[in-house]
Amino acid sequence: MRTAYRRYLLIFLCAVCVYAPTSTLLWARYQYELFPFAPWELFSHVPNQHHDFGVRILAVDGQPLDGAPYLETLKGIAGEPYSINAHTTIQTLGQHLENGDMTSAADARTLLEGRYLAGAVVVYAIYARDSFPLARWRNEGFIHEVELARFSTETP
Amino acid sequence: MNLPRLPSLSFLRERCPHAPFDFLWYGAVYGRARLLVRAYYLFTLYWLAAVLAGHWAAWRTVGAIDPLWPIFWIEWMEVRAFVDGLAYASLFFMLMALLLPQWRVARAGVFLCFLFWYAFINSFGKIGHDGHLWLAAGFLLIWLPDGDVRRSVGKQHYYLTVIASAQCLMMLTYTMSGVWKVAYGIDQMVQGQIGTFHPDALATLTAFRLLQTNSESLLGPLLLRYPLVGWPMHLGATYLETFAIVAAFRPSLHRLWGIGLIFFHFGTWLLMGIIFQTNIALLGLLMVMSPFYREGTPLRVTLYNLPLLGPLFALLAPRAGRLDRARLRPSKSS
Repeated sequence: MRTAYRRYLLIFLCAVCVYAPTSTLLWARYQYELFPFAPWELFSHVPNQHHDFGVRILAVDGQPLDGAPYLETLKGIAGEPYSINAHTTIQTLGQHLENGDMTSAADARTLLEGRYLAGAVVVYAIYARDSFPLARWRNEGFIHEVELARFSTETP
Repeated sequence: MNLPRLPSLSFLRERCPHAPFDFLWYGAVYGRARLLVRAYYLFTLYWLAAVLAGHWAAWRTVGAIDPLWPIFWIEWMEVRAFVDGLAYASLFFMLMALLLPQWRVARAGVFLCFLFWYAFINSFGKIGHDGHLWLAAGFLLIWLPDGDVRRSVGKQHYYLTVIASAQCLMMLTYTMSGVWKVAYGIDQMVQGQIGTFHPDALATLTAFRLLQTNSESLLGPLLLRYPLVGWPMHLGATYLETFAIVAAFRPSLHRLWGIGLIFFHFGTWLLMGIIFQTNIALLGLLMVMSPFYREGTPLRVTLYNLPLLGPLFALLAPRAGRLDRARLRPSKSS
């Protein structure tokens, strides 16, 4: 019993001593999270001027959409318009496109189209955009937007 | 909570009159801890039922998936078979763990099933963090001692150590989160930006989160109209998170920290629409219902033990503090 107890304590202390610094360093250095060892960097950095990516839907089944609205505003058309998973997938895709990593971008695109744009032929564009969150909330819009790429779910 | 004491251990009191702790107190604390472990497995079963009721049909027909490493083998089988098989296995192990929590195989089975479910749920482009602590607690509970724990103080000590280590691990993750906030806060303050300590910090984070998915929350719009309201809340949450690991080692703070962090999670839900359900349940089990928290602990003792602020309270009323500490010390005659 004593051996089991000491072994447990040793394993626990070693695990904690390895887990906390490793997950923190991996995140700080590479922005990498090895599931399920989270670094717990959640809403720590307050975004002042924020750079992110969005998907504008240009046409659905050949019908152009007025104003090319963003995916997250398309309740009733997109499957999960409010999904944080869809938002994160778009960020991954946009980041790869911006870095010119087309192989990784193709993987992210497959997931985005298969999971969040399925069921119709959708033509969409990825935009990089900058904004101040509080100002954008007050309907002041983006500082600027740039189209990175244009895709259709019909063509690979 | 008045739990029956164990008469078979009473001889230890005579044999070890100078022990730094009360052996009989172990019996009561162990009784509470055992109840807590059973409640953990009950809630795990409830979680499974709730999740399957809402998602089973949709998950069986999932098209695109980017599997995390624990379920890499899902690529060699149909998603429908994976979901169905895992549902049946989970039901079996979770029921077994609820009925026979002393059976290590059942506890290990629950951990593996939860790991697979949780990996599956997070295989759609984003790793969420709602179930991480529940999973970690499940892993530690596997190592609870086997056999008849009730008749052995040594095994009870081992059992309680596992519970205490689960509390420490949970509080460590909150501290990690708090340290990130403090570090970024100092960095952004030096750069003259809105950061953790700025009055607009919580409002900016709330706007940022709601705009990400164009979603709504109950109190978000109110906070964005009056950003100053969020300042003390954000500072309080940062304090609770940063010093959570200290609270884990001070039983008189367990309940306060548990309730405080539950409020913090409700706050993030009301403002940002982010809910950490399993964290709330785990905080309730491990901290609010902490087996190490002594019922009747005076509020003053809790205040004296507050990290950073405690010494200030103790300076204001040092005599009362000494009296309360003496009152809380286990008595050899009681």
